[in-house]
Amino acid sequence: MTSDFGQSVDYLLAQSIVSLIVLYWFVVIFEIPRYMLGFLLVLFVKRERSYDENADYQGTISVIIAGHNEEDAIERCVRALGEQSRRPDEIIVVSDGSVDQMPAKLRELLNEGLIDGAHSTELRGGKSAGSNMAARFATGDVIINIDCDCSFDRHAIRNVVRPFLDPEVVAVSGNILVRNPGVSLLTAFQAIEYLITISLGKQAVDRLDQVVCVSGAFGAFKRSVFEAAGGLDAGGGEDLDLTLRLRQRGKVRFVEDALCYTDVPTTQQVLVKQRFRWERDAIRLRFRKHRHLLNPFSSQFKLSEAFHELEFLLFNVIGAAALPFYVVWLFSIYGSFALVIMLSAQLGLLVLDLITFLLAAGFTPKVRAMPLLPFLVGYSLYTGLYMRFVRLGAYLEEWIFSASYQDTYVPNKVHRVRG
Amino acid sequence: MSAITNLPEHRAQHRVLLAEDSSVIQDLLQLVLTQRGHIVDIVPDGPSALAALTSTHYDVALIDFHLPEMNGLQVVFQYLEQASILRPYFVAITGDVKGLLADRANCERFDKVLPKPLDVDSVCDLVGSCGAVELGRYESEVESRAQQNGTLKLVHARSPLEELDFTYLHWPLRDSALSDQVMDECDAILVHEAVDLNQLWRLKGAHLLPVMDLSGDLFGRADLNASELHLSDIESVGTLIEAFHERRKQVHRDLVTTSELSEKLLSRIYVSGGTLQPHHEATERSFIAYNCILDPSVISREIQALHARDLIDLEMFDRLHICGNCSSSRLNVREECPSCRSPDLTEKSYIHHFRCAYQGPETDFIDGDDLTCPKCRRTLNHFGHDYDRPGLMLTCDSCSQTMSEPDVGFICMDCGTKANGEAMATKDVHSAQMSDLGLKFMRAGPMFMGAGQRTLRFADLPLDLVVHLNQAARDYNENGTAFSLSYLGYNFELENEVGSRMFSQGRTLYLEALRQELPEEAFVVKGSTYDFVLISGVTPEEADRLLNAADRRAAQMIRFDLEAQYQHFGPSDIAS
Repeated sequence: MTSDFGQSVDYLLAQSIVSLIVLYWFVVIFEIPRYMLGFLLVLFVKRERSYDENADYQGTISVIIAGHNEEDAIERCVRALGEQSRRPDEIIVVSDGSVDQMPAKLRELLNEGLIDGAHSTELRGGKSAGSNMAARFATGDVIINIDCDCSFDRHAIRNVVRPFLDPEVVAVSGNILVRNPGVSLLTAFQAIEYLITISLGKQAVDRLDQVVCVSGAFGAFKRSVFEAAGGLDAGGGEDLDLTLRLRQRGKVRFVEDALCYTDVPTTQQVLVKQRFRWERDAIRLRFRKHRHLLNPFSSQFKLSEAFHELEFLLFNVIGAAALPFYVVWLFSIYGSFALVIMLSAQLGLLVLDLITFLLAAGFTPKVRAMPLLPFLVGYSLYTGLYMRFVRLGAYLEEWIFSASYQDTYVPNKVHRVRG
Repeated sequence: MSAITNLPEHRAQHRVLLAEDSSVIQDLLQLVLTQRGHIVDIVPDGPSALAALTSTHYDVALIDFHLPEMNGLQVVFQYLEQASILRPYFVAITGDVKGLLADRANCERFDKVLPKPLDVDSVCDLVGSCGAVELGRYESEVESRAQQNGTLKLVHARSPLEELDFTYLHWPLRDSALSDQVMDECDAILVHEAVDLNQLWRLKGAHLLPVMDLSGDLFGRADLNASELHLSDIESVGTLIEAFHERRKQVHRDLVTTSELSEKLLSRIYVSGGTLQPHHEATERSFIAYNCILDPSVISREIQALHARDLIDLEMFDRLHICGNCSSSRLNVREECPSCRSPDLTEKSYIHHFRCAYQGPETDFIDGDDLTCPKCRRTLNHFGHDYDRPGLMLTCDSCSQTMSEPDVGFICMDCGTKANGEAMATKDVHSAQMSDLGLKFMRAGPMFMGAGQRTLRFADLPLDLVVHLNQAARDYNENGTAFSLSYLGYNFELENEVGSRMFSQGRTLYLEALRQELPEEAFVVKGSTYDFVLISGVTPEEADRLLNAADRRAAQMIRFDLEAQYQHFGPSDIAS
């Protein structure tokens, strides 16, 4: 083994640039451009600001919250909203078919004057229907949709509505950080992942006007446009779906200093289930419901939309699909050298990850990123291999079984008729 | 100075004339009245009473009805013939109340009648609380009383009850002179008119009588509704009176004459059968009345006090909301709008359109006869498949606010105060039952409760004791010689175990033994409920030591343990 290892290192060191590219084609195609794109954009492209970053938005703000069995979380969430530097003008909460004491809790909050509207349904209708109903009773110029199990930085609301100073902006995504990075190895990896893909990643694509998903956990919408678009469609992935539709009506921005904290899954089982759901919904929405975005003959076809569709197709779908082929190819050609080749690729990626991580940490306000640094070694494997296989599994499942139509995230009555 | 003459300042000092031929009563009343700071002149017969009245001004005149040479009525009558502007407050003292009342025309010249045997406490209260009366008031009083009685007779035809062979206390009082009598001779209270019923509770012993309602206004508060009495019910009247009578016999004398409201109420609960039962009563502000004519709010306060002393057991009857402004429980409860408090609410369904996730009030969907989704313009055809109704919402037609649940609001029907459900205070209403402790208390009286309940009641004292006590008090005032009066109580439960003859013999034997064990100057006397030991020259503390030692030795001489308990009073207790 030692001799194998020594031989393979010798072999690698003897390669020319061209043969290295041939050897590492997967990395060259699916990893390097993505990293480079991020570096270049963040470091060298100036972000265009169409509004005064020191001014505050003056319109009225309605916060809408739809929850199912959130008896415990809702009060903490509502009281925390009262701590915001820019307090919402109105808070409307919908209890979506809760069977716990959430409706009673809402009454208490209403009586205390902590919330302005409380609606409770007996039957669960799903997150989309709940949020739509809350939005139906909202009166503010801007609607902020939040999950009640999230918590917020003191200036989150003030910052998330600021882009609406630009009248062309129709939706703004807040930044989402992990609240429980220290719980398990998985949560530490996810903390790094959120930092790189959301905090840094969205800052990068915001420069290209390519923010395509206003997170359901913390997003702000111009109410008139939200209503004109019909609000959320039947879920899941309703946040991506709505953003894709809103992009037809105006600009969608990302604000990194509007910070929202959320708990991520702590066990592999829950994490895989969550990611299967996200990836399945992404496939269904991008390539079924919104496939016209890739059709050059469609009236809605735009280069900017085709760009993110293709980017997703290439890096997420094909990248995940090609990985098994690359591994098989590597082992069939290089036999026992393959492991060392992959290891060396991982080493190279680790360097890139380190640079990206430091960049993300530098570009994210208020985050304590350094405790996450030791986890970076494992993170390269987590994101480069583990998550790719999870994705691949999800895509296959969706493609073959249309699994997103059986998701328990939305009630069955909705599945049966949803478009 | 001495504790005996050291009097509470708020008490009025009166000049009192006592016309009485019994020297024991003379001694007794002089003792207690002078201790309270009154000046007492004593005369033994009618002519000297009249002479004293005309020569000196008195605030109160206590006059025995049967005086030698000239009876009490004649004294008063003759005095009033020649009286000046102010006359004394006349109190008749007699063992023959009926004889006095027989002279209907003149008996009302007395302001009060006190029956013998005298309740010393009430004599003191009476003398302390009244003074001379303006002449002229008396005549108008007599007239108004007569008129009142006349009216009563006009309004109320005689009830068949009154034909029965029972003695009734008529309410409102036909004869206010009766008002301080212990109601021993009455069998029941007949309420002609339900007015000032709380006053009825001031009459000594009235709390132990069954209440029969002729007015028809008392509903469940009386023991018998006599306003619609049929001939067939007459038997039940007898049964009721008999039942009260039987239980009244078992009540300790102290509780018959007590002036403490909670003790009165407890005794009332006992004689009426052992349970104080509340019921809903719309005519009451508290919405509650009990099977007792006392004010319900007073009852609920008193039963808490009795419960705190473990004399009664409580059982939850109801929890009522009460108005924060006027404490009334007569409230209208309604659903109202949380924001404008209007009750004008209309219920509507929410509709959830599955396909496009629009969810809102039904009115958003109504399109002629169809339901059309306002978001996707599809027609909703198939309930359960296209759409459902996941809940109900309320719209306030007054302020257009929508809500999923209304508030509960209260309006007080008495004062109009509005309040919402959570702000309303509640009050628990309980029924009360005699506890085991309460039952023992009924039979054994306040002595049973031990030293915490120390009260001295002169009414119980045997007369020869009063004379000795008088002597001891005089010694104390003049020479500062201390004395101690000790009450002896026993475990009266034993009487049932060993039989009353044996018990009585044991008690006599015990007293005899005690007498031998105590120093010579100790005066041991047998009373009815209690026995007494008066020792001059010792303080109550010393008496306690002496009696404890004597008790140990005396108890060995009888066959069963009487469980004697002592309570000691010194000069300072007697003065207060």
